[in-house]
Amino acid sequence: MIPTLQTIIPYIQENSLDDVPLTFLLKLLSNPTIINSASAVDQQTLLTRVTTLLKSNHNITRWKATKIFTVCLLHPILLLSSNTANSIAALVKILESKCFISDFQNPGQRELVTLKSTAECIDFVLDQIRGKPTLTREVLTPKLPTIIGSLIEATTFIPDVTIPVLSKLLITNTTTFRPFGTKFENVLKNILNNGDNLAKVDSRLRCMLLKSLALVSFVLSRERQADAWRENVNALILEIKSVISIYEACLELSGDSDYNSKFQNLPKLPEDMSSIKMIFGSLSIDINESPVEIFKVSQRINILCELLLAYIELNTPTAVTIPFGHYITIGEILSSLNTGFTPVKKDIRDQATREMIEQSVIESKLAGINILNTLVKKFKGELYPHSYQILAILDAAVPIQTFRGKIRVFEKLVYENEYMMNSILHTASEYLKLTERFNDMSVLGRLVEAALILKEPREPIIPTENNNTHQELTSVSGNSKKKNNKNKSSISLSDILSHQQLFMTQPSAMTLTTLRDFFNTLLTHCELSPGKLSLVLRFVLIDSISNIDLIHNGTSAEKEQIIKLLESALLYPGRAPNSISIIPMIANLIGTDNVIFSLLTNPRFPLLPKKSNRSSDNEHDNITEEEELKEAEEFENGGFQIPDSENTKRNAEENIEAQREEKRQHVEETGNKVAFENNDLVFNKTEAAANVLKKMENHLKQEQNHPTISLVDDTARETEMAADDNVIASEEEEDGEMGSDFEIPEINVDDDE
Amino acid sequence: MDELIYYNAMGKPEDKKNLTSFAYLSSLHTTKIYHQYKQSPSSANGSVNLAIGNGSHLLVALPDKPILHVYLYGKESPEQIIPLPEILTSLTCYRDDNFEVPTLLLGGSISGRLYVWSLNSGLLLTVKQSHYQPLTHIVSHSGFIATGSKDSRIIIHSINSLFMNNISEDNDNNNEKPFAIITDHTLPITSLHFNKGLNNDIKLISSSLDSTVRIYSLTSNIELLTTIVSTNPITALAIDPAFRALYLGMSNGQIRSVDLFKINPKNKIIEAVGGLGKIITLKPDIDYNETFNCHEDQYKAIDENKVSITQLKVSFDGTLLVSGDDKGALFVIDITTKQIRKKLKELVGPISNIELWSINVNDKKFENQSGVDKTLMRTIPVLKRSIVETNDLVNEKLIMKLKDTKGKDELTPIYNFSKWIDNVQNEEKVFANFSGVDSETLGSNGNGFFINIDRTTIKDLKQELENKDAAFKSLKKQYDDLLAEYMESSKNI
Repeated sequence: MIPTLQTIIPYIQENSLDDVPLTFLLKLLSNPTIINSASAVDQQTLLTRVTTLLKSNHNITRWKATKIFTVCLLHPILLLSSNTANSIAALVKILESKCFISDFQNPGQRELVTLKSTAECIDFVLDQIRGKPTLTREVLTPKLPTIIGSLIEATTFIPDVTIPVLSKLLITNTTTFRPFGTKFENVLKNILNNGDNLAKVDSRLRCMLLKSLALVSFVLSRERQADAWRENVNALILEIKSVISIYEACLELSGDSDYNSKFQNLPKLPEDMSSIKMIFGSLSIDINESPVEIFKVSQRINILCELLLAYIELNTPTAVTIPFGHYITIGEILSSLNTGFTPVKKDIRDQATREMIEQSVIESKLAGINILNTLVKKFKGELYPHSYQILAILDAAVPIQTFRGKIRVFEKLVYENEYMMNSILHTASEYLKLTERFNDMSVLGRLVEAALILKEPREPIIPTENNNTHQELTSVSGNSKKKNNKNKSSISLSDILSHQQLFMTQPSAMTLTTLRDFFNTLLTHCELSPGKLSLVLRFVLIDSISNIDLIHNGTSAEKEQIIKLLESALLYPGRAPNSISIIPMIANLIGTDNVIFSLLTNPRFPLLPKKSNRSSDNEHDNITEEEELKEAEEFENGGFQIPDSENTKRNAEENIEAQREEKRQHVEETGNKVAFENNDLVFNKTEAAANVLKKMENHLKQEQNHPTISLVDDTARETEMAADDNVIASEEEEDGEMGSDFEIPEINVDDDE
Repeated sequence: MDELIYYNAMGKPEDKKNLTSFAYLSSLHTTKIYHQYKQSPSSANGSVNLAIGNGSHLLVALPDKPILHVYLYGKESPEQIIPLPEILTSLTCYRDDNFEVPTLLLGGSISGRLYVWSLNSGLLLTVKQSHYQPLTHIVSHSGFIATGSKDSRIIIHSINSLFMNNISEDNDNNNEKPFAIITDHTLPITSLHFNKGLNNDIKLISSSLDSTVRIYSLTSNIELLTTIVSTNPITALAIDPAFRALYLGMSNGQIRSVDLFKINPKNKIIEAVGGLGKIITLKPDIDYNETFNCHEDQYKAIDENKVSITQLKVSFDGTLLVSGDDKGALFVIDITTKQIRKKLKELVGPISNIELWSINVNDKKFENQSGVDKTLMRTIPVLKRSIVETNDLVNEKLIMKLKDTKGKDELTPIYNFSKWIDNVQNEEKVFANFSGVDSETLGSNGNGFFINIDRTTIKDLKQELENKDAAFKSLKKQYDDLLAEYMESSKNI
C-alpha cells in the first residue's frame, strides 16, 4: 500500500517540510502511480504549494522546492498544468535575485548551491518543454527572454551549470537569444580574462567556455552563419600566425625551410595588424624585464589553439567550410618547433631567458600536438593523405643524440620531457590506428624506441664523482659548518649507493596508460620487426604479471587495458616465425575467465541451420561411404584411378591428345600404305578396280573397328570419367597450377602501368 | 527495427534521358516504399548510399555518361549533377570503423582506373591505373581496397600503399605497388567480398564468369585458400553474414548455396569446406537441394530467353536472400524453404545494385519532413577532376556539418534516479549542521556578530525547564487541591 498524494501534500509546506527527509519525499513524488491516481485538485495543490515554496525567503526551502519541482516535472500531467508557468517565473526570480549574494568575492555556499539547483531545474524544465508546440508557445516563449537574461546574470557565479544551458538555448532559440549575444560574449570573455584565467578553471569548464565563445560568435548572425563561422576561424588563424611569429625573434627559424614554407602557406598577415579582428588584446612582452614573460606567448598560443579546436568541436546548424589544411599546418608548425634543430638565437645571452624560451617552446609544441590529436579523433579518414607526414613530424619530435657516430634516442631527454613524450606517443597511436599493417620504420622507429625507454623503471640519479669532488673542493675551502653538511649528505647518499634497487621508481600511471595504448596499437595496426615485437611482448607480459592482482580482482579501466593488451597479443602474434609462443603464458594469466582466449583455444564453426532430410541424408551418406570403401579397396589393389581428380582429368586429356596424335599417324600411315600398295595398279579391268576398291573398303572397316584408334568413343569415355563427379572430391594443387580447364593467360602487369 | 533495401537497375540503352530508370528505397519486411529516385540508372555496383535517412546522399554514376547524380534522401530528382573525368562503372565508399559518414569515395572507371576522392573536400586524392578493362566491383574493408575488372584480374590496394608515402613533393603517385595482384581468374570478375573480422583474419572472396569462386586469405601475403568450381558462370555472389555459406548467382538464373562447413560423413565431425588450396567441384544439383530456382521458374513460362542473376544480398539475420536478375525482377527468397517471400517492384533493365540497411524505424531521420529544412547540407563538394597536389592539400577545405561528438553520453541526471538522489543528498550537506553548535547571526549586512550556543547546553536547559515545569505543575496541582479543600471546608464552616 503506497501513500496517496493527499497524505503527502500536508508535508509540502514551509513549516512541515523539515519533518520528512527530503529524499524520502522525492522518492514518493517520483512514483507515477501516486501522481496519476491523485485527483486533479490534489495535483494542482501540489504545484501551487511548490510555487509557494519557491518564493520562500529561506535558501533551504527554495533549494528543496527546486528539487521537488524537478521531480514533479517527470510526470507529463503535472508538466501540462497551468501552474508550470508560475513555477518557472518563481525560478527566474531566484536567479535574478542571485540569492541575495552580497559578497561577490566570497559568496556563501548555500546561496551557490541554491542557484545551481535552480539553474539545473530550469535546464530540466526547458528540456521537458522543448519540442512540444503548445507548451512552448504558451509557457516557454513568453518567459524565455527573462530566463536567458537571468541565466547570463548568474553565469559569473555558477558558470559550469549555466553555460551548457545557455549553449543549448543558443542553438535552439537563436532569435530570442539575439539581443543577449553581446552580453553573453562579454561575460565569457570576462571569465577568460584574456586567457589569464585559463589556468584557474578545470578542463571541462574551459572546454565549455571556449565552445560557447565560439558558438556565440557566429550563430547569432541573421543570415549566413556559415560565412560568419568561416570569417571568425580565419581571423583566429591569422591571430595564431601573428603570435607564432613572435618566436622568430628568439629562435633561429629563418634557416628552417620547412617552417618557412609552412608559415607562408598560412593566410597572409595584413600590413596593418590593427585591421584584423583580434579576439584577445595585443600581447606586450619584454623578456629583458623578466624571462617569464615569454610564457605569455605559449599561454596565448594555447588558448587560441583551444579556441580554434572549439570551433570544430561544436554542433554547427548548417554545413561549414573548414580550412582543414590550415588547421593541420598550424598543428604541424607548432609540433615541429624544436630547439634542437632551431636553437635560441645567439644574441640572447642570459641563461635563464634561454631556458625559459626553450620551456615556452615546449609548451607551444604541446598545443600543436593537441591540435593534431583532436583532428585525428574528429576527422579520422580525412587525414589519410596527411598522416604520413604527421607521423614523421611526431617521430622527429623525439629527442636524439649522436652516440659513436650513430643516431639514437636520447634517454635523458626522454625522461626529462615525459609529459611531452606521452602526448606524442598518444597522438602517434591515434594516427597509427588509421592505418593497417604499418611497417615504415623510418617514421616509427624513434617513437617505438622512446616508448621502450619510457617503460623502464627510472634509476635514481646519483651525483657523479666529478660533482662530489667539486663539492669536496668547495667544502675544503669552507668552514667547519660546511663540512658537517657534507657529512650529512654522504649519510643520505649511502643508501642510494648500497641499496639502489630501493630507489627505483616505476613509470607513472599516466605514462603506463599511454604506453599500453601505444603498444596495443603497435600490436594491432603495425608490423614490427621480430626484435621489437618481442620487446613489446616482454613489456606486455611483465606489466600484466606485476598487475596480476588487478587482473583478477580489479574493475578499473586499467584492468581492462591490461587485458585488452593481452588479447591483442593473442590475436596478433606477428608475422615472423617465433620459436616461443606466448599463448601458454597468457593462458596462465587470463585463461580462466577470458572469452577471447576460450574461443581461440576452443574454436567452433558457425553452422547454418538447415531443414535436414534425415533419411535421404543417411541414405546418401551410406552410398558415399560404400563407394568410398570400394574405392579404397580398389586403390589398395593398385588398379584404381581417382576418376574425378584434376590430375586424372588432365592425364585423361593428355592421353586423348596422345591417342589422337597416334591415330593421326596411323591413318596417315595406312593411307600411305594403301596408296603405295595400289600405286602401281593399273586399272585395266573394271573387275580389278572393283576388287581393289573392295579391299580398301574392308581395310577401312578394319581400321574403324580397331580398338585403340576409335577416337570418338575414347574421348567420350574419358570425358565421362572426368565429369562423373559423384562425390565432391578435392585435391591439393600441384605447383599452384590448376587443371587444364583453368589455364591462366599470362598477363604482364608491368606493361599496364 | 526494419531493414531497408535500396535497389536500382541499368536502364535501357535506348532510353537516352533515363526516363524509365528508377531506384527505390523500400522496406524488406513490410510493404512500405520509403522513396523513389528518378533518372538513376547505373552500371552494376555503380551507385552508393553514403548514409541513410534525412540529410543523407545517394550517388549514382550513369552507365553511359561521365556524370554523377547526387540525390538527397527523400527527393526524387537529382539534387546535384557532377561531371566526372570519365565514365564510372563501379562506385563505393570507404568507411572507417564506427564512423557514420564515409570519408573516401572510390570510383572505378571504364578505362580501368581507380579514382579516390575525399568526399568532404572533393579533392581527387589519387588515381591508380591498374586494370585495362572496366572495373566491375570495388570493395573495401579494414585498410584494404580490392578492385575487380573485366580483364579478369583483381588488384588489392592497402590504404598504406594508396596514401602513405605517395603524396609527396614530387607528387609521384604511381610508385607504390599494390598489395597484391591476383590473376587466377580467366574471365571477367563479377563480384568481390571481404569477410567480416579482424585485419589479420581477412579473406577476399571473388566470383567470375569462368564459373569459379575463389577464397583468398590476406593474412600475410595473398594466398589462395579454396577454389569452388561451379556448373555455370557466376554472375553474382553473396556471403552469409557469419560466413557460413556462399550464395552463387548464376548465368542460368539459379542461385546455388555452398556451405562452408559440413559434417564429415565418416567421423561426423564438423569440418570447414575447402582451405589449403583445395578445389571444390560442385556437382550438378539435380534434386535442387542447394539450388534456388525462383528466377528460372519465373521466366520459364513467359520467355524462352535465359535469365541470369545480377545482384545478390543476404539479409541482416541471414535468413533471406534478396536477388535481382537481368530482366529487372527482384525477389526476397527465404533461404530455408527456398520459396519467394516477396516480390519487389520491378525495374527496367538488369538490376545493378542492391543495398541493405538495418535501421531503427522510430528514428527521427526517417520521418517525413514537412517544409524545407534550411540547415540541411543539400549537396556534396564537387568532385575534382585533377589529381591533388601538395598545395591543394595545404588549402584543403572540408565542407561538412559539424557534430559535437563529446557529451553525447551525458544523460539528463534525473533519469538516473538513484544517482540524482545521491547528488541531492550531497547538496543537502551544505544545509546540514553536523556540529553540536547552533549559530545565529545577529544584525544585518555582515556587520552583525555570531552567537554560538552548544546544542547540548540547549538540551540541558530545555530538560531543566521541563523538569521545573513539571515540578511547578505538580505544586500547582497540590496547591489547587489544597485550595479547593480549604474552600470546601470554609464553606462547610
